[in-house]
Amino acid sequence: MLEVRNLTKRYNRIPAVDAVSFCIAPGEILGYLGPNGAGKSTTVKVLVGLIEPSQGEILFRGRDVRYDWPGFLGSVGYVPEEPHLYPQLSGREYLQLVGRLRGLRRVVLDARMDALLRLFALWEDRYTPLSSYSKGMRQKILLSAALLGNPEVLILDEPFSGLDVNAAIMLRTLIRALAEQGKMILYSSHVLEVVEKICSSVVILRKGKVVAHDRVERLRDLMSQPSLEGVFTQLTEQENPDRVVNGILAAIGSS
Amino acid sequence: MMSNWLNSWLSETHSSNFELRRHFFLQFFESEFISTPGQAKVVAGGGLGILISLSLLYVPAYYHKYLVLHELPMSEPYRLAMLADVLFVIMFAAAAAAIFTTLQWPALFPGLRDYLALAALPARVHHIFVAKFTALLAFMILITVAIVFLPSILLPMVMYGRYSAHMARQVPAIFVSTSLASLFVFFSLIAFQGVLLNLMPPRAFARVSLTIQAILLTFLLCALPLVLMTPDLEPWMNSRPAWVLKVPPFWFLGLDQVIGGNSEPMAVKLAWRSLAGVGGAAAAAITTYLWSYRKHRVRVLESPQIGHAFTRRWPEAIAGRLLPNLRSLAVFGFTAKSLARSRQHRLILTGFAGAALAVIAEGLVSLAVRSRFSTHGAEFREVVSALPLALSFCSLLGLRYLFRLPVELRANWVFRIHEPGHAGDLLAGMEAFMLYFGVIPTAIVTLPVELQLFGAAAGLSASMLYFLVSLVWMQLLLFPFERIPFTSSYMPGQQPLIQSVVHYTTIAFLYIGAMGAVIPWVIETRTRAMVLMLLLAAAWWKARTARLSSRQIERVQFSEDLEPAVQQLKLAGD
Repeated sequence: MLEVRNLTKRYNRIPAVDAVSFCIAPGEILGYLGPNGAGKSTTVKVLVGLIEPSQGEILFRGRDVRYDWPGFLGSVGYVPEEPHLYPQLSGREYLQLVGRLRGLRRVVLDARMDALLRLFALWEDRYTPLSSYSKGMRQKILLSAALLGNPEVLILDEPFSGLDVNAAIMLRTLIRALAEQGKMILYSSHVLEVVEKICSSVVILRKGKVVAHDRVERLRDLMSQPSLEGVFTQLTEQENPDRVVNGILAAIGSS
Repeated sequence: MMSNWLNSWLSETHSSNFELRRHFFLQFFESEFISTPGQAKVVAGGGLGILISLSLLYVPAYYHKYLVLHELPMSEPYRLAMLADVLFVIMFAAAAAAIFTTLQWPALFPGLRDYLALAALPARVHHIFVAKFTALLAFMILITVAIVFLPSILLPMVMYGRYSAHMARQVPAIFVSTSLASLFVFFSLIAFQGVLLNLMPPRAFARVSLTIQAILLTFLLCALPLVLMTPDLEPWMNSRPAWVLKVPPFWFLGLDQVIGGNSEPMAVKLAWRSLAGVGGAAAAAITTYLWSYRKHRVRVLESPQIGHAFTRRWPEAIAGRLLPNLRSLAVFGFTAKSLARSRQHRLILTGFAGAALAVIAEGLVSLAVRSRFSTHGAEFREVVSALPLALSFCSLLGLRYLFRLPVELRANWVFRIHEPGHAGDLLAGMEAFMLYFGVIPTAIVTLPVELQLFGAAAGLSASMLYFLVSLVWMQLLLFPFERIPFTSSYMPGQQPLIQSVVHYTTIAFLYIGAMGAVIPWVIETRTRAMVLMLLLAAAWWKARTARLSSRQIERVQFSEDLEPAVQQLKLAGD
């Protein structure tokens, strides 16, 4: 079980994430939603240790991760929102770097790397520098790197970004299969249709605060909305799109 | 009032051609190695200030030299010294222009990034070419004026005295001749690159271009000591060998003489050559630009951009044997690959190696000038045996400097999330890289030189001693350095440049000068050599243990400390 308790991150006393709490049980896929600037990526970065929380606790298997960060991070696979990779390395070299940083022995690492490169259809380009990869190919490298250590917790921030239709269908199936194997998956995204299809429950953030945390069906019933999109729009108080469109047209002198 | 008007005029949007020129001009001052984005004006101001202040350094020495010359009973020594000093200013300005142009080598013609960035804008190819060329010319004129302006005023002033004639003409004479010498070098280098660009296939050009840039930079750094020795050529300034007609710096010395009122046939001939040389170089540069512009864009944009496949496995196998710890191996491999594939990092390292060779060249040139150039002399042996010291000093310092410069900083998350609990292993990878790519290659490459100079036994002792000195130097360099190479942010200009120069010059003097003199003496007897070896080994051990125990917190640094002013203002988040 991964549990986040009262997590807060402030920048210049302004909270980006404000007392957020949730837990993910083994086999659960938790959707983590919110409009731009709601605090999703900040939460994710706190979870993987890229930024330090101002307050709150993260518990993994009932223990505060602060007492064993290396142990916790060794159990986490992470796909960041932006595919920031080292362009001078080839796809295979990047996976090798990650595998070595994770302490994977060569015999294990080589077999996993090669298998993942084949399965993600990157085999032909394994020696090509990442600077020449398309966005979808980079995303596949990030997914391969996250899976390389067979992690117990997967933190996925917009993992479908740039993937073609076939790869997206495969990934959706893969995420479900990983959950069935007992992995804990935090899935942060703006694509509500996918979240609705694969997540068992969702957390919705607005201005750093949790405004909803429940199962998808229950939220739909509670708010009498036919889809997650309706629930999301209502909870996050999105501005009327037509009004925004008219404003943009007016701003560029096109109305 | 005037500055307000200028600021207001600059902040206004002007014609697309002007905006293109402004864009290219400011780009010459933007580099992640010397400035943070948007700091072009600060870099430009600081850089020009340094160039201008350089000329102030030699004024006091020249002032006293010319006071003495004016008191001599004959004018001939004064005349010869003046010729040598003007030649020095011409060569210095030309060398500085050549170094600046070489550093801007990849930006001399519009590149792929320029075309892509400007693709969606209403700018035609010939607009881009004209804007790039004029911005480049404006940049070079600015640099040239910064280099030659003060010397052209100060040198005639310090030379003024009873033997000086046509002093009023000396200011324009030096200004014009040095400026044209700089522009001659600048145009020649553009023309050279233009010819290569048009004749070579685009992918081959990319490879050859970097090699040429590195060779040019090394050559220029090695030539600098020769330039600095020019004032010592004074006794030869009276000779008129025919070969001076083929050496460009003398053309511009002739031009200076003609503008200064000298009508000797030789001076006139040289002056005409200088004008023909500048005109020819400028015409060649413009011609290569015109030649390029129609097909260059197509060649750059439509050539296959698929990167070179990295398939060599043997370096991996060797590294795997050298480093059993996987996390250390990860950092070691990452560092080697990044260095091998980053053009700018390799160029900077070449610059440091060039500086090492320049130190040796300076020693040899000064020996030659003092007519003590004998390959069997003690002084010659001292200078040549300092080669390993100069190489290890510069290569280790260069690696340490390079490690601070990021490569794709935003990708460092992969190290940050794997660093907790493993900082020591990761830093060991960096240390191993410095050992295997800085210390050991220097020892191996210079071993034959030591064996040749000192014989088998003493040569081996000397090599061992240089190796141990390099190890101590490496430990000292790594003392406050807890970074994975190329992964931390870099804040340039934290320490004033002059402070850094004084700091490292002093260390270089102690390291290369003192050890270079001590070691040849020590290896004369076996006992002395053994004692020094033991002392150096103990110093290395002490420095290493002190360094490792000083790591109070096992964390790797991923960002530079903020400037003190920023820290005091508490601008760094909560």
